[in-house]
Parts: sequence; C-alpha cells; structure tokens
Amino acid sequence: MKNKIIKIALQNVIKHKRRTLFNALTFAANAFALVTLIGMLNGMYNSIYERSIDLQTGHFKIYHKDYLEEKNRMPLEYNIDHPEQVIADIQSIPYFVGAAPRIMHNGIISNTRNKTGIAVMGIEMEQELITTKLFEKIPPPEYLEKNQGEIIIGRRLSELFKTGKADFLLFYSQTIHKANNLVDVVVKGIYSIGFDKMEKSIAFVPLAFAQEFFDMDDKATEIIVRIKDRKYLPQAQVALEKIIQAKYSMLVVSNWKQEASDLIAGAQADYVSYAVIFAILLFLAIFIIMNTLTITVFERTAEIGTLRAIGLETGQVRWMFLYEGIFLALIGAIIGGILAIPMAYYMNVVGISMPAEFKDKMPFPIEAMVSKNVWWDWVLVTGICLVTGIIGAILPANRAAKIKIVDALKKGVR
Amino acid sequence: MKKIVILFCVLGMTNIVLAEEAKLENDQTKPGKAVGEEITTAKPKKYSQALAQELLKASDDSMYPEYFKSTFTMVTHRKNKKDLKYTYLMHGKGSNTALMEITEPAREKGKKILLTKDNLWMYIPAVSRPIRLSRKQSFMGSAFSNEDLMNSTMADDYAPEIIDKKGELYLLSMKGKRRDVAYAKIEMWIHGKTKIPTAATYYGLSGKAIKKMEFSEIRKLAGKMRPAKMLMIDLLEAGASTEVLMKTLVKLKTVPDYMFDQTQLGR
Repeated sequence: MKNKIIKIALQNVIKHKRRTLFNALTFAANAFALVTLIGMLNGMYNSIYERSIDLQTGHFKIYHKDYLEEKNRMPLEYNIDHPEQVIADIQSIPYFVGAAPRIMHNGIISNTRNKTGIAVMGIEMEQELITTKLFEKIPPPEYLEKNQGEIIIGRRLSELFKTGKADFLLFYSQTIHKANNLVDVVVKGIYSIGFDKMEKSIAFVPLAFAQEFFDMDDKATEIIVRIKDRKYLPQAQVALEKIIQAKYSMLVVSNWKQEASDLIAGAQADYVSYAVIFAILLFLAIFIIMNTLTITVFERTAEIGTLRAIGLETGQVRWMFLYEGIFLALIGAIIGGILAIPMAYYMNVVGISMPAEFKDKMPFPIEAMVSKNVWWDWVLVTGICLVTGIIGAILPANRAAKIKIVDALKKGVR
Repeated sequence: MKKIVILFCVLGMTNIVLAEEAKLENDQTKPGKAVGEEITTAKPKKYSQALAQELLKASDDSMYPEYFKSTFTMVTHRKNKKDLKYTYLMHGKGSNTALMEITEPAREKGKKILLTKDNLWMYIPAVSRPIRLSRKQSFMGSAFSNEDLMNSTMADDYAPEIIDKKGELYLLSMKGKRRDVAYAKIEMWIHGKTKIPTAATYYGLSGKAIKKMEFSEIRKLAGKMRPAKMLMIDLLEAGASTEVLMKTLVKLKTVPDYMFDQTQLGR
C-alpha cells in the first residue's frame, strides 16, 4: 500500500506540471544558491587561511615560553638563543619544508620629512624564501643581503613616503637593553601582496643587521616553520613538540590555528551570519511549498474525498502529500544541483578577481575569490531541500487528512 | 620632575651650536654617516674630569627643587598639522617622581600622568584603571618620548667629558655607563658660570643624532635661575618640535606620597 501511495504522489507531481515546475524551481534556486555560497565561503576562508600561513603564521611558530603572554608588545628580552641550532634539530619532523629565524620588533621609520610607526622583521632571506611567500613577487636582485643596512618596504609605505628603491630611510627603535638607536637603511626592494595594512606597517631587514641593531647577537624572537600541507599539522606538531620539549625547555610551539585564532574566530562568526541568511532562504522555501501545497489541498478536496471514499485512510492521505513535498524538493535539488555545476566549476577553477578596494577590507589579502566545493556539498544541499520539503508539506498534509469525506464529495469531482 | 628638567637641559643650544647643528642636520640625510661622530672631533684632554663632573652635577641640580609644584604648557608643532597644546599642573618629588595633571584644554582636563622610577602611568577619568605607557611611545603626541621624561639623574648614568669650549660654554660629551641607558651618548652645552644647560643633542647607539633640545628664557624660578623654555626637536620628522614653557615653579616643603600612588590616581 505504501508503494501505491508513493505512486499516486508521483503521478500527482507529474500530472500538475506547471505547479510542479514552480515548486521545483523554488527548491532549485535554493539548492543553486546553497551549493554556490557554501563553495564560496569555504573557498574564501580556505584562501584566507592559506594566505595567513604563507604570509604570517607559517604552520608553526616557535617562541620563548614567556613571549606569548606579551606578544603584542613584541618583547625582545624573551628570545631564542642560537636559532640555527633549533632549526637544524627540527628538520627531522614529518613533512618539513623549511624554517626561518626572525626578530620582530616595532619602531619608527622616517624619510626625515615624515615618520610612521612600523613593525620591523629581521629575516634570513634564503630561509624565508623557502618558508613563506612574502617575497614571491620580488626579483632576486632585490633580496636582502646578510648584515647590510637594507630594508624591504611595502608598496603602500613607499607610495606614502614617495620612496623608491635605493632611497635612504631612517629606522629608529630601542635595543634589547632599551637604549635608543637610529640608523640609515637603504631601500633594497618593495614588496606587494595587495594588502595595504601590511604593506604600510611591516618592513624587513636582514637578520644579522637586526641582531646588531637590537644588540642581540645570535638570537631571534621567533622561528617560523612550514610543512607540506596543513592537513599534516597533527603529526608534525607531535614530532615538533617532542623535539622542543626534549632539547629546549624554554621554548614553546604554537600552531597556525593558535596564531590565527582571531582570524578563525572571525570566520566562525561569519559562518553564523551566513547560516542566518541560509535559514531565511530555507524559511522562504518552506513558506512557498506550504502555500502551494495548501492551495493544492483546496483544489483537490473532492479528489481527496473520493480517495477517502474508496478506502484511503487519513494517514495515507497525509503521507501522499508528504511524498509530494519530498518529490518536489528532490526534483528541485537535482535541477539546482545540476545548474550549480558549471558555476561551481568556474568558481573552483578560475574564480573571480578581488577588486583592490575590497582586498584591504579582508582579514587577509586574497588575489581571487576561488570556491572550494566538495561532493558532500551536493549531498548536504539535497538533504536540506528534502527536510525543507517535508516541513513545508506537513501542514497541508494534515489539512488534507482532516477533510471529511461527505464535505469533500459535496464539492464534486472536477 | 627632574626628568622634565633634563628635557630642558637637552634643549638649550646656543647659536654657535645651532650653526654647527644645521650643518650636521644636512649631513644626517646622507646615509651611513653618524652625526655624533662628526661633532666630537678628537682633541687632547685639556679640561679636567673633575670640572666635567661638576658641570654635570650642577646641571642636574639646577633644574628643580626637591619638592615642587609647577605649571607649564607644552605645545607640539608638526608640519601640516594643527598644534597640540596642553597645560599641566605638576607636583614633583626627588629626581624621578612626578604627577602631572592636564588643566587645559577643557576636553582633556582631569587626565593625569604619573612618573615613578621605572614606570609611567596615564589616568583617564572615563577609564577606571590607569594605563601603563610604553617607554618608547611619544608623550602626549609630543617630540618627547615617555622615556625622555623617565630619565633619571644624568650624573648616575653618564660619564662626562669636556670636549670643547666656546666662550663661557662648555661642551660636555656624556657616554652611557651601561648598555641600558636611554641614549648611548648625549652632548650638552653648559654655561660655565650659571651651570645651566643651553643645548643638548641625543644620540642613538649607532652614533646618529635622534633629538635636540634647546634651553632658553633663563629666569628666576623657585629662588634660582633656571631655563623656563625648552624646545625638543625631533630629527626624524622635519618641522616637528615640542616647546615647553614653565609658567610657575614653587618650592614646597614636602609632597604627600599618596599623590604618587597609581591606585590613587582617580581620587
């Protein structure tokens, strides 16, 4: 009997083509929007996370154990002695790609006409090129040379200061002993990552030069570590922590999730916002399906009366309408899912270039909006459509089940 | 309080020095040149170490009484920006403890800055707890850093040597005794008779000049001749300077300790 009910429901869906088309299109539009938006959101945050790893956090950072508590003030006194030795020791961790020592501290940069606060990072150029993607657009002649008074500044800062390559700037900060220091630095290169905030506020100098400037020989404030892929994070972290705990009790490991915790919290908050938008879309779909099926119940009152008169029970009438809702949702999900494929393909493979003004508003610069869809997205969206269809059909189905046979037959079969 | 005195000292440069410094400023724009190295031409020691010590100590002592109350204005000039002007009421005790309260402009009134030996706190009436300020930060947007105000008595931190004399003015070159002194070297012109500093230049570890200070308007304050005006020139930004003008300075018998307690700033 159950199969017969399903068959009748299917026949009704096929028979009322126009109604089916409109209802299915409602679901199709939702399915299309959901697949596309889920892909775009996942893609955007995946790109932001990867970019954050490439430009700022690496997969891991190693610090002095007291550094993290006062990280915002970039303390020089909590440092890593002989970082090159630490790097040599951690190369055995699985999926290791590279590691680079750094000194990070704030200061002031001046062209004698203007000055601005800046964070200066002392880096080992060769190791940094393996470990990060900060300098992927910089040609080799602009690379920093060891122990030279050279600086790589951001495109935005160079524009603000009207400073180009080979120009001189003054860099002012305090040493590890809090003594003031000021030196000339020559602009060796200008980096551009499409992120004004960073290009304006972070500059790079050779590590040896920074060590001398800050009066901290053979020391670094952090070591940035890169592995093959962030999916290997757990295994690599276990191995890394084992080495650090065994040999360097004063040091701690921080993974990219801890480093980018604000970014991740922001992304999670965004997901909640988008979930609310999705919920509104689904509510609209539920409302539409409920509305059209209720109209259907009124239209088919006499038909329902006849079915009841020939022996169909109230529960079976209820199920018939619920199945109709499920079929409409399924058809819509399939149409929407198919329509979303070309869009998803384009967005996953090509993507949309980010307008310059939008880039700077993002927590991390991404060159293009590239989606990241997986097959599971279609399954999820189909499931959501089915649930929506069922919820939308419950009220009309109950209404249909409650119709009295005599009242229904009075209306006459059309 | 002595910190402010130190600031005054550092600012007071004579005309002669100014001429020299103008030349040095030009040189400073050239890369790799440490300005400080140029003005400290090596000369045979013809001035006694005792005189150098005496001048420095007298300069330290000439700035403020042990306990005092003072009002002063601080005006900061920056190119293409509106001048920042504040008036402070200050109570001081010893060489490194002072409480400053902004009395003007009205919108800033009630903000307090407390200097203790190692720390500097700012109290804003709308914020319940005082905020600890970093040493490197600019003091209220001025050419002074917080650390400039926190400098303790220079005689404790620097080894002086007289390296030049022009008329009554001695040029004292002071090298930091330790690596943790704020400036690796300070050069200060001090009047031989009045023992009042007239100008100073502060150098970083690399030997480059970072700031200059000029002292002027010497007049009788709290029973002693003192510079009433100080001008701090920021060498990192053309046209940026801060002028401090002492309006009143009154010697007090004592100042209660609670005034310098950061937990009492809100009272």
